Amino acid sequence: MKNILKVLSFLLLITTQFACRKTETLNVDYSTFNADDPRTNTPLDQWLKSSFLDPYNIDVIYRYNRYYHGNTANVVPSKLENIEPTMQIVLDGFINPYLKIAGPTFSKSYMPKEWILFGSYSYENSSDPGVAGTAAAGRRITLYGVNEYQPLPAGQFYAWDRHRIMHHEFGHILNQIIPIPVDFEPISKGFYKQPYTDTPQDSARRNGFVTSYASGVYTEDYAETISWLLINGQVWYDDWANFANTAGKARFVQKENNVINYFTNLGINFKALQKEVQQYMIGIGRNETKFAYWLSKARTPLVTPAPNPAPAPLPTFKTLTINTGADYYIKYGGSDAFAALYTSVKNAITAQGYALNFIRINFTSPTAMYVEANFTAGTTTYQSFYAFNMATTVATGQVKFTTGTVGGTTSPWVGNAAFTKPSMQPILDYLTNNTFVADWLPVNVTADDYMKLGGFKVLNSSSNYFYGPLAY
Amino acid sequence: MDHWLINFKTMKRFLYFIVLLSVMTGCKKTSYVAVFDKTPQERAADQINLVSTTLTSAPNGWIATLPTQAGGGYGFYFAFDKEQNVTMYGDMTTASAGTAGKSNYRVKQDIGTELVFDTYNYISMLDDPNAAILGGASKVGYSSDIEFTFDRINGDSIIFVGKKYRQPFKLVKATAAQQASYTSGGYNTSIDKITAFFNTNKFPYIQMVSGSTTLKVTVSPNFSNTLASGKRMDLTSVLADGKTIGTGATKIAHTLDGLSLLNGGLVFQGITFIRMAWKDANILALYDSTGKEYIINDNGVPILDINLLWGSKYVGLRSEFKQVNPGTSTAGADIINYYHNNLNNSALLGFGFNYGRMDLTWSRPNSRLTFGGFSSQNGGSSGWTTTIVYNYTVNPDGSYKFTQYTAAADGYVAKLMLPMDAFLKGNDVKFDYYSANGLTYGRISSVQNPAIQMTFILR
Repeated sequence: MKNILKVLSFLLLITTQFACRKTETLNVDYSTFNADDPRTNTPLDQWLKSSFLDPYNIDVIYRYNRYYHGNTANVVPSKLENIEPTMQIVLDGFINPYLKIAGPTFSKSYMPKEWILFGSYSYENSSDPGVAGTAAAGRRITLYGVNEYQPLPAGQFYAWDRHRIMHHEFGHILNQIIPIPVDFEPISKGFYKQPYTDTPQDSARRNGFVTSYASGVYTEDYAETISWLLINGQVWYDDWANFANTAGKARFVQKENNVINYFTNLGINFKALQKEVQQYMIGIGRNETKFAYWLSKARTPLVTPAPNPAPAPLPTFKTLTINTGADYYIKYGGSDAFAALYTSVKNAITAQGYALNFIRINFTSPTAMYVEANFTAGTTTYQSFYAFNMATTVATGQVKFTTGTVGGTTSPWVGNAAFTKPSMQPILDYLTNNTFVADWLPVNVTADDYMKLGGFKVLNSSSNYFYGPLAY
Repeated sequence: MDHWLINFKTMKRFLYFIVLLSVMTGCKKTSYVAVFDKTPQERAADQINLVSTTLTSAPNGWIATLPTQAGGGYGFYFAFDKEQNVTMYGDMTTASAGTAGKSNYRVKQDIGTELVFDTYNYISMLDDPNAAILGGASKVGYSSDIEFTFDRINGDSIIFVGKKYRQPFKLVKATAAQQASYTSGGYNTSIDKITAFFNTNKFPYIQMVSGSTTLKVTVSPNFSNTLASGKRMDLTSVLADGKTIGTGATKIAHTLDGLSLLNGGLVFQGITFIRMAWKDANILALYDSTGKEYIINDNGVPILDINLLWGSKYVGLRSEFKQVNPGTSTAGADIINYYHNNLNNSALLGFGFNYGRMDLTWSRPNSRLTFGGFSSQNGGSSGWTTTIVYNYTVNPDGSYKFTQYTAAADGYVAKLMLPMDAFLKGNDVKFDYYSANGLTYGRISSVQNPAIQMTFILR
């Protein structure tokens, strides 16, 4: 009781202390502090409001404020005329794919709320490689270099490069909200090294990094892996991985799966997102989206030390396998015209006493391939080979096959080839008599199969085509 | 609970003390008296309002000058409106002087009141780290600002200071006639006229009295955007003693009627020149801070003895890769060509080069001349220099006698330098100007063998 009294008397004294205090209303209007009102109401401002602020609560800040880039760097503001086209690029290739695949709830929640635009890149000093974008606090993306904008087609690189930056920075934004899975860093553990500029691109590639920049630290690796998978597509990624050493290639596969899982946990089908971004890249004409580009491309295997003579360049794809009875033909259907042709060949070989397993195009270089008929009698499988030259025009996707030089003296090239020739003749003629357009066929594939199936369509005859799975 | 009470007891004295203090201070009235009659935010708002109103209330816009920290000076015309739009012209390029650039500006609170050109316009070119835009240092630009802190208003002028590079940004109200001229291509006309004047009058000078002597002072403006030397002007003269070289330089900006000399003017021999302007249609003059006029005349020939300028105006002479300049005699060309034509002679040198040049560089305090032979395998981006150093004495006739101080060292082209080396050591050598095709070269000739004459780029 005594103690309670003491406590009470203490409280009383405290109360007395405040008893004489006069309260004054603190009339503070914070809007008058740090006065800065960059608001104009031009058509540009209205467009930004209706396209970004109203639907997504995204504030596009294009008027220069040093606060957003730091005091030490040299940065100039954006050209007014470049703001709208740049933000249209953001909308088309970045926000809309996420909106479509990840849904409005995700997009509205996670899309960065502040977009800062600057005209030049940011350089701390004359030896700084420069900053093209930053992501901060899970809420802000800063895009530099807006003054480099050009309309298409000259501006293709600009548009692609903005997406390279944005998808990279948005990767950081997501990582800032949902951490990178702990099993990602160990994939390349021991291979991260700063400064990244000391790691040549080939070394980075060999060791399982999409870029030199990715080899600096695992957080950048994650953002780069996301970005390059999205902007350059699956074939580019696989081709890049095929260039690496065995361990490096395995890391590429693990990283891709890690990213896919990360997005799956966010409720996003990463493959569908990748396909969606690729549709944008097709729109701006990126070569990496074109089957014909990869057909015309070969790479010299990366071997250390470099052997002498240098190894022959390898085409991107090794084979394209055609079998109208296979699962994917059942799943996606095919061209009736070609199915009839294939069936007639198959029947002709059956009449010769053999069962046709499949017909395969083996790519040997960007300008040559041979058609393989693979057929069986009993338990023995036979092959016959027919050589073709291949002329590809990347811009139009057109491919013209002509009869090539016989590739050897072994039985597939000589005896077997002669034996099945009467049966195969219709399909060999089909190849040489038509001009084809190379494309990712069929057009209605699921996101998982996108860029895994490729084919050739007879020019100006969209119902006459063949396709099959591609192998690297 | 017990534990707490024990502690409470031990703290009793402290508590009583606190209570006592509280009682003493509890009823204290604050005695804060504001130094200013308004709150900080009110005063900040007032100044923002003042700057905004001043900028937008000039009916004919503003004529402005801005020196850059690392490069030369630049002139502008601005018109600000109340919707945060600004229209400008600048003297960086023909396009920027002739076509109105439209962008935004705003006035905001910063450390002081700040004017910021917040979307891209001509003034941003000076700050642009992309050297492909105008020039300047790669990734830095000309070290110029787009944010300016308000300093003061003085009559018809409003003066700001660059936020980062601290350069004075001065705007003066334009007249209606000036505005009309800027908006109708008058700026380019003015720039072209003054450029043409200095192209025609190659050896311009002013006369200036210094003590009992009248000096002929050369006037050398540079209207290019070159970072180290462009948009600047210098005045150079032999002073009254007949041998000392006096010089003064400053950054310049084009105006409608001539040039504005920035950074407080060009100080030469105690006189501050502040502008260059047309006295009439064809006569150009410099004016000092007192308003005194100095007519610019053409001397027809170089004014200053080249020998006086070594080490001050001119660092030395250069023979560019495979370039034989006008005024070079056949015997002289042999010496020069031996160097350039054998650069790729790997049989002679052991190496092949695809670029090279010869430099003669003066060091007057030491009475020495350095002969540098540069060679490169990448077109000049980088390479190696072989140097020979000579002592010299000056003969009564003004020619030079060179003797070797150090033999050829470093680099790979000592063998190519032999003919020139032999020439320098074996002759009394004279230096003078040589003019051809509108360019002035430095000429070297031999007293003993008048047939040997070589011309070089002055640098």
